[in-house]
Amino acid sequence: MTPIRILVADDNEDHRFFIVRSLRQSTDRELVIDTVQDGEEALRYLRREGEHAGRERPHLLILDLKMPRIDGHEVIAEVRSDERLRALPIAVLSSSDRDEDVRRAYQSGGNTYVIKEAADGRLAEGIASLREFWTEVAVLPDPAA
Amino acid sequence: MDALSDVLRWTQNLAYVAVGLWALRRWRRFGTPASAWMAATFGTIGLAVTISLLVTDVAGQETLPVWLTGIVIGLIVPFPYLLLRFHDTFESVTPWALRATGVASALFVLGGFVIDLPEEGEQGTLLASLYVLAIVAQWVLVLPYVARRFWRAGKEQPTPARRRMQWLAVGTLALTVSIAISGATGQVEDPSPLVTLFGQFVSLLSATSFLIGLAPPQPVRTIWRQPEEDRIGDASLALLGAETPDAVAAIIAPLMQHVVAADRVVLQHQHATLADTGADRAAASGREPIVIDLDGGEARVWPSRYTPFFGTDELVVLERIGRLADLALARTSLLVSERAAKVELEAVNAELEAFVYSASHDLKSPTIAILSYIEILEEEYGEHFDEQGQYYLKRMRSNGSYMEALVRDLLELSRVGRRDTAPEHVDLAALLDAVAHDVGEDKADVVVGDVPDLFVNELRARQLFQNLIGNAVRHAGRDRVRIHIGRADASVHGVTVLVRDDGRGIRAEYRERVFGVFEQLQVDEDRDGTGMGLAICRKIMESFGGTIHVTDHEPGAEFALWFPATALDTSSTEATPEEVLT
Repeated sequence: MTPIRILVADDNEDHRFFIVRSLRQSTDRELVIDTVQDGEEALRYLRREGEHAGRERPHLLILDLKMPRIDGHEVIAEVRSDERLRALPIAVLSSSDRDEDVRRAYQSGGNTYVIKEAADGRLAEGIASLREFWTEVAVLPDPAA
Repeated sequence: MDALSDVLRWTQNLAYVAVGLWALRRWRRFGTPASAWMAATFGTIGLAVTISLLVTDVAGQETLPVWLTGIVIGLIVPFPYLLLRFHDTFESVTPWALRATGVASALFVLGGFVIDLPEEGEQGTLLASLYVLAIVAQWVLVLPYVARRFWRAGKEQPTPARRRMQWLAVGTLALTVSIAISGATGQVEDPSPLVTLFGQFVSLLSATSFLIGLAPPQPVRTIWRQPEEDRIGDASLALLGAETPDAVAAIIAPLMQHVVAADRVVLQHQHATLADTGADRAAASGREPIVIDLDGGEARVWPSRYTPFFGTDELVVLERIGRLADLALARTSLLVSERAAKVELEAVNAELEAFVYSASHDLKSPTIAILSYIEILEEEYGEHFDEQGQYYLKRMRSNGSYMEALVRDLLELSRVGRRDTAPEHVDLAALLDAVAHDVGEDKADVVVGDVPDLFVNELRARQLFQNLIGNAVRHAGRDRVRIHIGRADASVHGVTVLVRDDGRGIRAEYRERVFGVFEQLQVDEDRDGTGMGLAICRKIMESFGGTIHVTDHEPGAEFALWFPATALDTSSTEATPEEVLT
């Protein structure tokens, strides 16, 4: 089985750490996980520009919304209007529970929306479910095609 | 026939005397050029009539002495000229016409003394005939002209002025006819008594028309002013609906303009010109406006040239409209400032919400991180902690979770009533069943009685009852609290819904405090609530336009939720008395 490549875009270093840790936990599936610090870098990564030249495109993007420079909403819009990136599945992982954020994320082309809530281990559970669904249940398009 | 003729003559003569006296009095009172010329016009006629009456009827003389005849004629013949001058004070008459009429009148006055006029029954000289003919000709030429001009100008005037000007025109025309008849009968040997009588009748009509036109009695003026009064009434009603000073001005200015047929009305309030109805006509006429003082402003009204003379009452009406404007402007200014304050408040609230959102997001991130690390600690290093250490970890996690909930509820509280979607039909009974199911039958036994259908934001309604039921469960002090929800009373204004539990209840001194933000009456060992649940409930009820409070019902706690009629679905059925919770 080819490894599944996941890009995590989140401006909070601790959150990135915890997300990556939770993704890797209790799975046999081989995952290649990269992280970026904001929307701008996420787009450079996806477009293989600058320091990210030569990167392989990921199968899945896990995206925070509130980020400096380019926020998550803009990243979704950019990805969906980019011919080569359009098919990329996007899972939003945000601490915002505002209906307008949820609505907008789906409207502009997000594929799922999970709220970061840490009490009672819910965040780890949510990330584990995300990973399980996107890597074991769902079929993903070949990003290189 | 003679008796009737006498009555007609007397009435007519007395009417002329009355008009003359009234005109003189008015001139003394106002002293304006118009009143001066009117006094000259009708005073001379009145004087001539008085002299004739005194000499012939009172003194019993058959005829007037020649010198007195000259004076009487001298008083009567300038009438067309004087009437023309009177009219000229409103709208200028061509100077040459004025001059020609004046010169002719002067010649006629002179003629009255010089020309030997025939006695009654006598055949006069040719000169005398020509003289009489010339006088009649002048009257017949000038009077209809003036009558026509008054009538036409009257059309644009407010009703009382219009009626007066029209009566003046009628009087002038009638006088013309009467002069023509007497001129004609004077030339024939033996005039028909019927024609003479008709002439007298027309003359009486002219005298009374002048009297009505120039000095209408108060009741007549009141009746004439009815259309204007109706209009003021309509405007008063319209003013109740006006929401801005501009809207008030849009009603008041045309009203003022109408009442005095103004050429221009300018309404100023708080240093702003609210209305200006056309500037050209008034500027061209160069007249001074009437100034009506308003609270914090003024109305300047350039009335039509006829109104000040023919509509003295209308100036009083104008003042009345001014007071009406004061009230309406005061009310709308208040409305406007209230609205501005509301907009400002909304801006501040929006800013506050933006701040709360951003602050809570910023608080959320570290909270999530802390909770995540606690989780890692527990998972990976849990075995290294002894019992005491495990307890500390548990407390850290509990406090972290509490902080996360606090931030979430604070955010929620800031959002209630804002950015809510439109109200919709809410089947409250079904909603309560669903909420009760979510809470779990093991925790609460929820009995739903008769409840009204609501017309509110459904998410908020759900949140409201979730919080209330959750609150009852948390503070019950035992498992399976019994909660009864039902309608208490209903009126056209709204419906009260009671949420009653049989838990520990709320002590009287805390019944208002429970709705405060961060109010926890007791600190639970493992805090489920943040203490903001009831604050959110109150804000939700306020967003519905309703109220919520704790009643004095004991034992247990009882919340009374009042929903205004606007938050109810009107199609909902009324409760029967048996169903009402007592």
